[in-house]
Amino acid sequence: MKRLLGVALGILTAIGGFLDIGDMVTNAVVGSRFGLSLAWVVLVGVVGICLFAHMSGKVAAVSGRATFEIIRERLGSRAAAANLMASFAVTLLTLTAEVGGIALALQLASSVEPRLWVPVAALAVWLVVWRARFSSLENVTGLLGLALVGFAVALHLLGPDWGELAEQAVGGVPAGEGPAAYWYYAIALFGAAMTPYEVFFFSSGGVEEGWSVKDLAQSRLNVLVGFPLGGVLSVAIAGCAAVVFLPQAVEVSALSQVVLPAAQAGGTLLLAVVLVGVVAATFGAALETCLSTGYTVAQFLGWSWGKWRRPVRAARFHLTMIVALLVAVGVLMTSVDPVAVTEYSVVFSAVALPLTYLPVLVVANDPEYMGEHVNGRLLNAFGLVYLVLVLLASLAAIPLMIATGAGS
Amino acid sequence: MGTRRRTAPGTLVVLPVLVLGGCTLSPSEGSSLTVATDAATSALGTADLTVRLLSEGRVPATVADTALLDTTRMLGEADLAVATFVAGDEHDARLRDEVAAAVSDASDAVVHARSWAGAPTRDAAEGERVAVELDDAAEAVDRAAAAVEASGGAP
Repeated sequence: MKRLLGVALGILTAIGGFLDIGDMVTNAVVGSRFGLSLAWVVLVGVVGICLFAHMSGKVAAVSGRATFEIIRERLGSRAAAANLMASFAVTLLTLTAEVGGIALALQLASSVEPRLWVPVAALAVWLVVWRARFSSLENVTGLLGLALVGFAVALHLLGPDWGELAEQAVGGVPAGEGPAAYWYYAIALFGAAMTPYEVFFFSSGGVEEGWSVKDLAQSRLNVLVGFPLGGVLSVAIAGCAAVVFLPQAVEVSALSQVVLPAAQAGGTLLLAVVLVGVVAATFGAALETCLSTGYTVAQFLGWSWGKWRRPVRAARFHLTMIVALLVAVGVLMTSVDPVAVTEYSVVFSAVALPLTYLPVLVVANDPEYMGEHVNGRLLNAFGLVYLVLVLLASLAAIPLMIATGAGS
Repeated sequence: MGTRRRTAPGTLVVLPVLVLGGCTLSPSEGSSLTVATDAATSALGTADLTVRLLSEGRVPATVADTALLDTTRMLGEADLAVATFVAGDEHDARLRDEVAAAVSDASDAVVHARSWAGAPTRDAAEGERVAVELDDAAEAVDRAAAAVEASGGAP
C-alpha cells in the first residue's frame, strides 16, 4: 500500500510539475494564433521529454551520478565547459522567466505591480531551496500544480465544437499565417516541452533521493504516465485560447489573458483554482531551475552539491544559486517583460538542447557506466530519431527567429 | 590550427549579425499599420471580455485590473507602430491618421474601462457605457484595418 501511494504521488507530482511558465504562455500564444494546428508538436515534445528524462534518470539510478559529472568525465573538460556555458545561460534565462512568472501570477491575485513581487518571489525561492527538504519541495509544488487541471475543466465547460478543434489539429498552417511563423512556434513549443533544466533536475534529483536500479520501474512509470498527462494540460491551455481568443483575432501576449478563459468557463472559483496552479507551477519550476543552476556548475567543477548536505557543507553550490537568483532579479527589475523573456527562453532551450541530449544518449549506451542497463534497440531507434529532431530544431531556431521577427 | 583561425573571424561576424538581426526585428517595434491594428484588435477584444466577465461577477477586480493594464501596454505597442510609420505619399498619410485616431479612441475606452473596474462601487449603467465605448472603438479599429487591407497592406 505504501509503495502504491509512492507511485501515485510520483505520477501526480510529475503531472503537476510538468508545466511551467514557458509551457503556459507558449501554448496560449499558439492557441490564440494557430488554434490546435500545432498540438502535434506537444505530442512530439512529450515523447521527447519522456525519452530524455527516462535515459537521464536511468543513468543517475545505475551510475549513481548526475548528468554534468558524467558529461565532464565522458567528453573532457573543454567540450564540457562549452556545454556548461550554454546550458547554464539557458537555465538562468529560464529561471528569470519563472521568477517573473511568479510575480505576474501574484499580480493577478493582488493587482500589485510585478516588480514589487519579484524580490519577494526570489526570496521565497531562496528560502525554500535553503530550508526545505528535497522531497517536500518537489511534492508540494507538484501536487498544487495539479490545480492546472482547471484548464481542462474550463475547456470542457466552454463547450467547444470538438469537430472544429479536431479539424484544426490536422489542418496544417492556418489561413492568414505564414509557414515561417508556424515553424517558429513549432520550435518554441518543442523547446517549452523539452527544456534542458528538467533533465538536470531529474537526474540530480535521482541522486538526491538515492535512486538505485530497483527504483527504475517507478522512475519509468512517473515519466511515462505523468509527463503525457501533463502534456494533455498543455493542449487544454492551447484549446482554451483557441476557443475564446482565436475567433476574436485576439493574440495572447500576457499571463492575464491566459487565465481569462477559465473565468469565462467557471467563474471566480475555477479562476482561483487555476491561479493556485499557475503560482505553484511557476514557483515549482523556479525552484527546479534555481537548483539546476547550482547542480550544473557544482557538478562540472567537482564541488560538494546536493540538498541532502547542510548548506555549510555545500557552500559554493548554494552561493551559485544565490548569485543566479540575484541575476534573475536584476534582469527583471529593469522592467523587461517577463512574458518576452519566457518566449525567448523556450526558443533558446531548443537551441541548446543538443548539448545536453547528445551526451545523455552517448552515456546511456556506454557499458562502462551502464553495464547491462544500456539502451535497447527500440530506445536507441527513438533516441536517434529525436537526435535528428533536436538538431533540426536547434539549427532552425535562430534563422526562423530572425526571419519572422520572433514570431510576429 | 588552421581551422581555428578560419572559424574565429567567421564566428565574430555571424554572431553579431544574428543577434542584431533579432533585435532589429523585435515584434514590438514593427512600424507597419497592420501591426497597429492587430495590436489594437487584441487589446479591445481582451478589454471587452474582461469588462463583460467583471460585470457578471466572474472575475475579481484584481484580475480585471491586471488584464486591463496589459491591454494598455498592447495599445502602447499599437501607438508606437503608428508613430514610427513613415508615410510614402498622401494616401499612406491618410491611412496613418485613420489608424492613429482609432488607436487613440481605443486607448480612451480602455482607460475608462480600467477606471470603472477600479472604482470602489461599480455602477451597472456606467458599465454598460464602458461596454458600448469598447464596441465603438472596436468598430473604428475594424474599419481602419479594412482600409489598410484594401490598400494592399501598408509598408
